[in-house]
Amino acid sequence: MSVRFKHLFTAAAVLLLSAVAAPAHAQWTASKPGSDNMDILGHIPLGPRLSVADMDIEQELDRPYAYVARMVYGDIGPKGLDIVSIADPEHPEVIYEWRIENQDLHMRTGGMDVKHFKIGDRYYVVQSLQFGQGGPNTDMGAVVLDVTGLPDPSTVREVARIREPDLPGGFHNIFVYKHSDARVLLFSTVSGPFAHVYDLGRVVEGDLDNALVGRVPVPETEFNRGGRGYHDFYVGYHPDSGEDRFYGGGSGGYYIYDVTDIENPELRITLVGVSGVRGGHTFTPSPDGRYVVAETEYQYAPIRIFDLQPALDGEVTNIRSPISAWTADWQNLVHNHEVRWPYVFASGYLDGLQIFSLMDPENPVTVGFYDTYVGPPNRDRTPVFNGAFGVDVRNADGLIVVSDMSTGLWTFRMDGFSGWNGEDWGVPNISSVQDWDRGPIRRPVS
Amino acid sequence: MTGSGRPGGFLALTALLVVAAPVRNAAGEAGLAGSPAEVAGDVAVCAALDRTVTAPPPRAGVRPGPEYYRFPMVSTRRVPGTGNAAGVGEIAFAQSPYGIALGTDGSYEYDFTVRFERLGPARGGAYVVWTTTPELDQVALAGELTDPAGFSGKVAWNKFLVVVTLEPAFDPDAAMWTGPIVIRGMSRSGMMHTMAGHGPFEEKNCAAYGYD
Repeated sequence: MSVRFKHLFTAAAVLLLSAVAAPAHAQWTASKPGSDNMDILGHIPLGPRLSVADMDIEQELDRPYAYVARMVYGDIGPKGLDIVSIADPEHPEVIYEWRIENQDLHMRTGGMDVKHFKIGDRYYVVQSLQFGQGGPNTDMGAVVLDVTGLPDPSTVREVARIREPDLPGGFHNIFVYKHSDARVLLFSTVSGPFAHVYDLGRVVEGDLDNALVGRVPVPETEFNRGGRGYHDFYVGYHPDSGEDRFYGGGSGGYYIYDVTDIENPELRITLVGVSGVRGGHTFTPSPDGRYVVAETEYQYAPIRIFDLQPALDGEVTNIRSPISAWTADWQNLVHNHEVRWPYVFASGYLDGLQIFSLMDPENPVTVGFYDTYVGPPNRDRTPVFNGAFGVDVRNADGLIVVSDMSTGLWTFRMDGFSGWNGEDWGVPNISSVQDWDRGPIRRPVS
Repeated sequence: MTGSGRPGGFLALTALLVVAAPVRNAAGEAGLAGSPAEVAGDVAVCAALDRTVTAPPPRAGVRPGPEYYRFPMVSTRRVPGTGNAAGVGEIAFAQSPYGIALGTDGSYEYDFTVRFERLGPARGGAYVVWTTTPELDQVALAGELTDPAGFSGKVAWNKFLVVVTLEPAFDPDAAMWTGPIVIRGMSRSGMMHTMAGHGPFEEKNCAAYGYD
């Protein structure tokens, strides 16, 4: 079988799997936007159409705050960050707004990704920013705010701006990781063929000159010529190997690095040459690191599920065939996701919140949904880039929060999901949620 | 650590491209020697912004300049009565008996004009016109906008923004605006920029989601 035929065969298989795993047509309508097992708790509109980007929620129940990035993807909107109190999830309330000064003179979108973190006894939020040339702050990648004093908005203060003059255009996506060496690290996309790694301890202390502590390259392969960069990533502890591992989606596909020594990242596994994947987007492993959930950002693309076991066993170094795929509506596109094994919580753009189960990784099953956006596809921007943009889950109680590009912030509960701890599911208690005080779990998986 | 090289090659390549690129006017003909487009290096590297500017009809007796000497003025929609406003800016070399007008620091001096349509009267204050560098590190007061059909001023920066704000009152000594921005525009030369900002998302327009 020729390589080309193999690619065609794989593509056909992925499409077939998608069709099997998903309903033939979307089941959600304007009059019945959600499945019966979803409880909508609260909703707060946040402003103009296409002005909301990603979001993040704090995990401690006594710090009920959602951070929502604000952008201008449509015609108008703010550029910065909203802090929303979800103390009463049925009545979310905006309690603080950070805006770039003279926002109307800044080009491009503004706020994009956002993450919170804790160092010592202080809490912070880092907001990624993207400003284009022709206006100010093209070198600004992120702003860091001290939010320890919330809910008193008068205590919020800006502590740092991370700039990269040689890499203008800002940071698209970011991830904050409590490394096994106890440092809190910011991984960021930059306009270069690598991800940057900043020591946030140095950032908040004002030592910005020495805050850049590492770079994770996009390896050059036959599928990645020209040195392009990452789009999104996840960093997590890998109990089997005892390594801190970086899972990045970018030019050519997906890449997994050992970043235990952050100054010397070592490439472990590649997922390139995957049919239908020229560039990776959101890329998240299962808690034990065996499976990965991989997104690509183009219309009609399903989420692909890969089994890394052959690479973890040392039999291969590249994986190119998914074991399954899932889509909410094959005509659309699913965006970001959060893995709380076996559930995957996805912000599905035009299809809203979507939840599917990987109890059988080879047969993903939709288990819940609520369409936060019942409007039409865009006519003035990329058609499928509207609706649910970001999603997060509070492990302590199972609260689900979604940011929608046009309709604002939503809070949900799913029947039977009252929280998540990996140990309850027979896997390590590892997700995007960080243990700021103790660092990553070290229990190996048998 | 691997992959740690600085991207100086992007800058060098961009500089070469800018130097090597031919300058053409709106009709696709070679630019006239000494035209603002040529002198300012107004090479539109971003095809996405190379769109036709919808200019209000010129005043009687005013000859509209070539397209590449114009730029749109776009409302922020943040000030009541201005959401539907639109305008156009134009630049031309300042008149000089020596052929080229230079400022005291050697910069070329330009005359600029801005004209607006559907700009309602200022409510509770005055419209004030400013010019600034794209980085906002230098700001100059151009004057009070009393006639939306035409305002003229001077500017001596290669790349610049024109900003109209709503101020409580016109203060000829003001150094910086205090009121909300009503409408703004970017000189055509502002579209020219380094390719170093074109990273993993090069398929996106280089200045997309800008003022319009």
